[in-house]
Amino acid sequence: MLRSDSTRAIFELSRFTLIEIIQSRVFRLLVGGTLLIPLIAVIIASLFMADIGKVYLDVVLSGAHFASMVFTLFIAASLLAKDIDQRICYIILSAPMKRHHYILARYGGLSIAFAILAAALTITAYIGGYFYIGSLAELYQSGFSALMIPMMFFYIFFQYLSLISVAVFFFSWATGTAEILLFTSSVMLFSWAFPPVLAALQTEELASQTPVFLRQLIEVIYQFLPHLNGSNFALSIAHSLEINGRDLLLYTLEHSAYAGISLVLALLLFKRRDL
Amino acid sequence: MELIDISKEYIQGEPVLSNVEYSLDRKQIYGLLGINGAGKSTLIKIIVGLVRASSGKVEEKDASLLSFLPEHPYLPVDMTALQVVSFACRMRGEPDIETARTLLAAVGLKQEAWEKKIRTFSKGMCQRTAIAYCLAGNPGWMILDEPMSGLDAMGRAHILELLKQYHNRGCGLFMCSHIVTDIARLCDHVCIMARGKIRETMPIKEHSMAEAELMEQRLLFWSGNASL
Amino acid sequence: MNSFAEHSAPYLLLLIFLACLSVARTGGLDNRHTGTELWENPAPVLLDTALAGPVRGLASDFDVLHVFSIYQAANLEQKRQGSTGLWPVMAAYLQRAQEMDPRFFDVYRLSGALLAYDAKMPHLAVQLLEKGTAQLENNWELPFIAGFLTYDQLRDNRLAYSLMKEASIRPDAPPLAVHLAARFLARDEGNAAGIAFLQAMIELLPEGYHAGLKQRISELQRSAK
Repeated sequence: MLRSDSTRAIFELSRFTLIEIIQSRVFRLLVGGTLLIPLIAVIIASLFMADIGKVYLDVVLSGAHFASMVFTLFIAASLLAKDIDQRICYIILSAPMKRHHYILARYGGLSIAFAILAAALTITAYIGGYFYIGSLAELYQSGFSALMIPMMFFYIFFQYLSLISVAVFFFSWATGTAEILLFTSSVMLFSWAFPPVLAALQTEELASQTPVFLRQLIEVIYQFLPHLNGSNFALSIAHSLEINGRDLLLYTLEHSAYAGISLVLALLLFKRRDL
Repeated sequence: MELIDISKEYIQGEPVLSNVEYSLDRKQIYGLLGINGAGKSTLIKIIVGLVRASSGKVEEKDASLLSFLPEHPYLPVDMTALQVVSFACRMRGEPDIETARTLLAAVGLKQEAWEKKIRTFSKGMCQRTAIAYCLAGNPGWMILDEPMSGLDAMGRAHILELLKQYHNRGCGLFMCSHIVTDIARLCDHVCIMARGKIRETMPIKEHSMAEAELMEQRLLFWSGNASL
Repeated sequence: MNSFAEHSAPYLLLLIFLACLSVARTGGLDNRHTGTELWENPAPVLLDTALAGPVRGLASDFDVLHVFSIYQAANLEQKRQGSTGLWPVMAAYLQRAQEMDPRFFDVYRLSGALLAYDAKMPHLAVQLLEKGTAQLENNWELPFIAGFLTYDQLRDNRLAYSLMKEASIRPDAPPLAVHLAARFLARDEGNAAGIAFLQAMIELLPEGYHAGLKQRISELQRSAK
């Protein structure tokens, strides 16, 4: 009975969160804007000589990152920030709702809304790729396969599920909008910049130019961040290279575990805080 | 409901509540009166579980539904009133849409507003929606922080009447307000809080202006006496 | 009068500001119209990599777009002034594009044509093509182009031979490649084969990028006579 009450509470608030997001103008604009991404990709790709399929995938990937960041910052983090700032959590918690159900359900609703956005992006990018790149001569397709597009979104989806969980973690203890947005955007920035820098530092030439303490500092911070290390996957996908099953499994495991850890920490902190 | 020796310090050495003891009976309506900073909101938040007491506890004798109306209740602005109240109904195991409609009608929110986004609502309309949310599921206790905030005179009379009806159906009421006349009109007991303690409790028998004036005098007395 | 001022003033102001904006924008401030001295070398590699984050492919695409623009500007400058200092900048962007996405084929195509023949930097072009050869293990074109440049520009027949041999053993290398490689290395047939190869490269590039290759073809034709 208790179990079914918990499930119902999580289900109901997830649904409520999803409706809240879908009804917000910023989400609708974002989903509408995704229709432009394949169009922009086609325009930019057409400027190139031969690797048009590759450039199309590059632009689609970047557009997807942009949309996902907007979602994380301006939809997920903002919604959670409002819960604290405007004390919307008071009224929801009095539903009645246990605090850990609240965290899980908010995250659930945000994840489903993000999945909808990712699906919209995948469909529009797939259609654009299928018709535009598919109509080009083989030389210009540069090994393009429309199936790479769902694969690309699979990677992006997991990366941003981690980042959304980070926003939930900050929500669990931050005092309001400024803190939640500041910390989430900082994590996003570092997650964006650190992995390729660390990869670049593996080269002897750069490693010799960078002080050891700086490399170690970056490495330590890196271990606390969600890894937006999609660049290798992204480049492989853009060149239609096969990604092995083991890497795929590890990647999924890494992001699921990271999201899980962030959520558990969020539960522990939120349970103890005064609202 | 028993409030047993509740104390709260947000910052060590600066108590907001000190050893609050009180017993609440569901058959009575309680009012909590105090000036700003007296500790009313903290006490209410401890009762509903939003804030943890530094020491002491709230003991509920039966596991009935406890509903809470916060001060200045903000609601998700992209939802409609009907969606918000339906959510409360579903959470409280009631058929959602029909009950939500009944509740919104009961609080006096005009029907044409039910399916409009809360973003477009006035403060009074938000307050009515929040009260409807609070009433969903026939709660055993309602803890109300400034329930008349944002309502006009007619709205206040209407909501007071509605709260009385719910009380008559067996719902316990504990209401916190700055407005002495509202407490005098609705409550059977008033607790006067000052400097983190319940200083005095008074029965309200006649719900008259004279009683309201007396309460105000006692409130000023306790709040003005810095040595207490 | 008051009512006119109240209602029309904002529109009037809007018109004035729009007029000012169009004067400013058509007055020569827009970078696209000048064509020279716009380009600087790319930012330090670490900064560029950090900014690119997980979208290194796009960063590489933009570097190549820079190469296109620099190429146009360099040609314009060369026509006007007889010389240009933009070729090293173009080379730097090509190198950066290669670092960002080592599998981006356009980078090598541009290196083999623009960098080798227009910018007269065959050493660097061969270097980039060799890097590409290592990255794209199944591609025969890159070692082949590198081999040709080594033969034609660097006059290093030994290296040219090893690169072309590498090309010929890679999957899908057409018999033509093997045949051409043999002809390059037979000195008496070198010019004709070189012209054939350069013409094949012209086929792969848009018209705007043919100048350097055509110049080299006419040089080879002259020396054959």
